[in-house]
Amino acid sequence: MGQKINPLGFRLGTTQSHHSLWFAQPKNYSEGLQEDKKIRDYIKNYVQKNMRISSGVEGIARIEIQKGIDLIRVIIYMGFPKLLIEDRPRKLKELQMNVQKELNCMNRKLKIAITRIANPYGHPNILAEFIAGQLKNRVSFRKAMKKAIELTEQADTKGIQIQIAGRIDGKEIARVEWIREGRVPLQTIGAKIEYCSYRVRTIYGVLGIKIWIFIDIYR
Amino acid sequence: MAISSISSILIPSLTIQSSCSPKPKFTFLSCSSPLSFNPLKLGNNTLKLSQSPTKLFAAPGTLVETAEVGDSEVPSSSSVTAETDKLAPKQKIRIKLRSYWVPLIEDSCKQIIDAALITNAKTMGPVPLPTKKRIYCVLKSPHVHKDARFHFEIRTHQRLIDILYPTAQTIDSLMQLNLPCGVDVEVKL
Repeated sequence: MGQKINPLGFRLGTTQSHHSLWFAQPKNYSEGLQEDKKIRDYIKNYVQKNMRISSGVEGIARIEIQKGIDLIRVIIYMGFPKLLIEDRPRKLKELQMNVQKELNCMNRKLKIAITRIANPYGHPNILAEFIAGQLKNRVSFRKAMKKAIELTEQADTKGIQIQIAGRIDGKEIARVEWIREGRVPLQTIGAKIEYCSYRVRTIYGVLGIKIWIFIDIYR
Repeated sequence: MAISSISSILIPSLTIQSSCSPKPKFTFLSCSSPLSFNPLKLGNNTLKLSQSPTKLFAAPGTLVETAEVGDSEVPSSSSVTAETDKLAPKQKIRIKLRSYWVPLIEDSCKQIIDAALITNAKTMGPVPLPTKKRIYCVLKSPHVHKDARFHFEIRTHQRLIDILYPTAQTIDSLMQLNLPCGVDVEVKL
């Protein structure tokens, strides 16, 4: 029996595009990579901190970073950008200043843009955050998974598979549970599959959630 | 027949040797002497006697010939290079593009060449240089399991564009060009 490779990495040349678009000489590559990680972590923490103020799921689907000479462009794809719509220009500027301070790169211009995704529940990251919220509130895991699948069915996808691993329902013995709806052809490179792996911290320990969503076959 | 064939073999070998090391005559005779032993065991003494005078006559002749040929070759080549230097412009811009993505780099090449052609400068078209691959091999597991590994690679595509006879207009338009983000540009004058 083999094990499963990350479907995003498997499709990188073809149906999957890179989330960071920049070139660096081998000497400077590690610095660029560390900058990227800092930007992404900071934005996620910022959104999570401010989420407590308003209710609902603030889902970040992905963060795209493009670096040119003298310019860093960050595009945040969000499902429900209502937090930032309310107070938009101020919050954005705050984000920009903080990120620039973090990176110590005042010599390069930093632009942050927020894009809304159509069908937010068709994206696994947002769905995973939804399930995580439910599990923390001690909803039965099967109910949480079924509810998530209902949400995706509204969002026009062809298949979904959800896997939860760890101390499910707080039981002592950890196990892995998964359900699948529709078809999820992981071996087909031409199939556009979105994948997400998310960690939930409960009082019993850590649960791992993995979601595969099959969107379309590329022709 | 045998003698003539041997001599025909020997003389071209002499010329080859002379082209390699033109200076000493004596080394020719000394290194060609074992050759005389090799081909035929029959009548070696007669062969030697017959060949030595031919060698003596042949060696300086071939030496002179090759020396002349060498001299004539050298000035002609230098004159050729001088001519090409005069033809090629003293100012030319050499642009080297590097990227990890092929569609991006092709697009950038097209933009640069369009900008140059609009302002009437000659371009040497995008020359694809060999792609460099950096391969990394990392362990899959956080602890133990040495046999399970992941291979990743980074491919760097390179293109080279020359712009001959650049005018101020071309340089302006090139500076104003906005190339997509993932392409690294190196410009040499």
